[in-house]
Amino acid sequence: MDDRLRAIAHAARAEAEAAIDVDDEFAATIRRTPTNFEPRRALDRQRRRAIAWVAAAAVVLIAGGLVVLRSGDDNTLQTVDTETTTAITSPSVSSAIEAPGTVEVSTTLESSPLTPTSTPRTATTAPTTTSPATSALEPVGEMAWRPVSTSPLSERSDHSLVWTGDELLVWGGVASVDGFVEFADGAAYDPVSDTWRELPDAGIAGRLGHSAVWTGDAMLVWGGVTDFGCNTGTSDGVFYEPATDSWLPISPAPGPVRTAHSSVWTGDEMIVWGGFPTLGARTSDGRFCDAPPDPNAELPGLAYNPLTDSWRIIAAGPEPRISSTLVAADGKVLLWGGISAESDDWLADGWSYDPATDQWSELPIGPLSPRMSHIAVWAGDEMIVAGGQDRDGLLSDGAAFDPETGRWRPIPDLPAEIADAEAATTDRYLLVLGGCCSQDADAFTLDLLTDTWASLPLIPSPPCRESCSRNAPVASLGDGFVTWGGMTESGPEADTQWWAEGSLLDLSK
Amino acid sequence: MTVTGAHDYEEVFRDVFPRLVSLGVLKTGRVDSARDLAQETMLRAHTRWDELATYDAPAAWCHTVMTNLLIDYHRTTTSEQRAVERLGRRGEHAADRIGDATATPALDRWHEIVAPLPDRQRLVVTLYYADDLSVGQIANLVGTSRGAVKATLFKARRALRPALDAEASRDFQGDSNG
Repeated sequence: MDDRLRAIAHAARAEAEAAIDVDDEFAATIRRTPTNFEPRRALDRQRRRAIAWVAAAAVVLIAGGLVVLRSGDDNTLQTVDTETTTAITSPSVSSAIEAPGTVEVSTTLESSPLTPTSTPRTATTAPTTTSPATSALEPVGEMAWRPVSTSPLSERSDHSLVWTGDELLVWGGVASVDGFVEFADGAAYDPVSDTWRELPDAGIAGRLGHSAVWTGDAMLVWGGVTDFGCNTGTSDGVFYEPATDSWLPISPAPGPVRTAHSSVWTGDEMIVWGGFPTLGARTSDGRFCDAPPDPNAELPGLAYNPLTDSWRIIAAGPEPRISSTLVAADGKVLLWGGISAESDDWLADGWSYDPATDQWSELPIGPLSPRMSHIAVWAGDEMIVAGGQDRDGLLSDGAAFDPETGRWRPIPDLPAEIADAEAATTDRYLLVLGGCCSQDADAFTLDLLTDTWASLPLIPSPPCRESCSRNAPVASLGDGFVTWGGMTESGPEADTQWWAEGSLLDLSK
Repeated sequence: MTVTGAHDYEEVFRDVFPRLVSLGVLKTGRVDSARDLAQETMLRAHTRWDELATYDAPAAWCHTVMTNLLIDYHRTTTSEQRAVERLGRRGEHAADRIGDATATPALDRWHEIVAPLPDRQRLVVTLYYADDLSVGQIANLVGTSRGAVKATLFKARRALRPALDAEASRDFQGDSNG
């Protein structure tokens, strides 16, 4: 279908362009130019954003005169925003900017479980901003990411990262190499030794957008897209058990094959919800995509129990939607926001699913407006929802929902308007990484104790600098975060690049 | 008016103008509207060329402005005008709208296919299939997220698939019979 539609579009474009006499049009445009031309909308979106940033920077510069940014030499790091001041203590990491373009990150985290036992690493990166606060989001301090060692895997995005407690499991994904390639390989990264080992063959097709959850002793991989060009879904899955370094297939899921679903691990089951019906498979000659089995098929929620290797269809709940979020919350599952798949309405409703009773219940209405592509995470006792976008653009506000009290409370705004970001939590911090339209920074932490946001230093590897968007997964290591691989788009033409690099942020101290 | 800079205005105009018009025609279905919007875009570029000429990609700036104008076009065009255009599309060929006798079967076919789509889906589909922009590029252009673009494309594909499959089936039968 894509090939046919593109062929028609190109032919139509050629006909339209052939109808234009460029000489006449050029002369007509010059004739229309008044001497005192005032554009109706003189500023394009990027320029408006730039001005907003400069204004924000001015606010910080003024505030900076009133607030002490650094307290002595105890490596206590502080970030200032217009409302609050937060301190992030990172005594274990020091960073020295030796020369323009070179950042030496020396790690002295000997007592941290995340500290590599190898010698301190030195990384040469693109220049980082070193001038005094020129932006409201400029990081203050030296809380540092460190690059992880070279992995055996190739560049990719839309892969999964799963933390086992000892290792980071990287599996699957996609990249463009003379056409899209869906990967079926994986590797395990040990942050203590800063080393990788390759995983054995999983025995299933390469894929992206799959579920990957840690069940306590194994990684469960299920579903996903096996042909990116045709958006072909799959219902098969496998377990990977690190103890035996082996894979084991699971029973196929019931019901229509789907893509772009959400999934969470509740402690006993993997809950699967939402997604699109698969759009078919490639024809045997490999040239076209077949028609979908049923593009309007209803997709029931599913639950998979690894103990019994069985699936069950869960109770029908809220209306089908896309770009909503699913969060595991102390044995229950919380669903929030998105766009209705039926009415195209933007949604701000939330639902709770209890696997024990197989029942859905609607959450109280919160303070947030309808949105999609937001982040939502479970932070120990609350679900935090932030960012995303609505019809008018990107959003930065957020709120937290406490299932115990059934109440919402607003939280401070994200330091930037962001959609499609990735998020993960430790006991103390929420990390928001990448997403659409980040500018000078693309990683922020929310201190869950003080409810304050901080901007993190630029990630050294993969780099993503000015006007760059990062699409990369992030995983919590319990007392730190790690990101590996992903895709970045930068520059006016949104140049796309896939990566096989990663960085780790240690918050153990 | 002489315009100078790292990029030459006329050179960029000749390169980018047909692309802007074709984008406008494929989106709005009207050559006159597309030509007006493309001219408006290039007028804006002309009046600030001293600055634009130093940009790495002034064509990208023009593309962004044209896209914004197309979004505004839908917002500012009255429902009455849009109804007239929709009615017009059913009975006339693109060649009529162009104002010459040139047959434009592909343009006609394109408009027949995308006519049922909501305005935003038509814009995204045009940028994706006719302009060959990536999801990320479209997200930047229309000021939305990659996820929103993907969702829009998904819905558009789902809406268009029956018509395209039927056409493919007709072609296949035609080939077989032929």
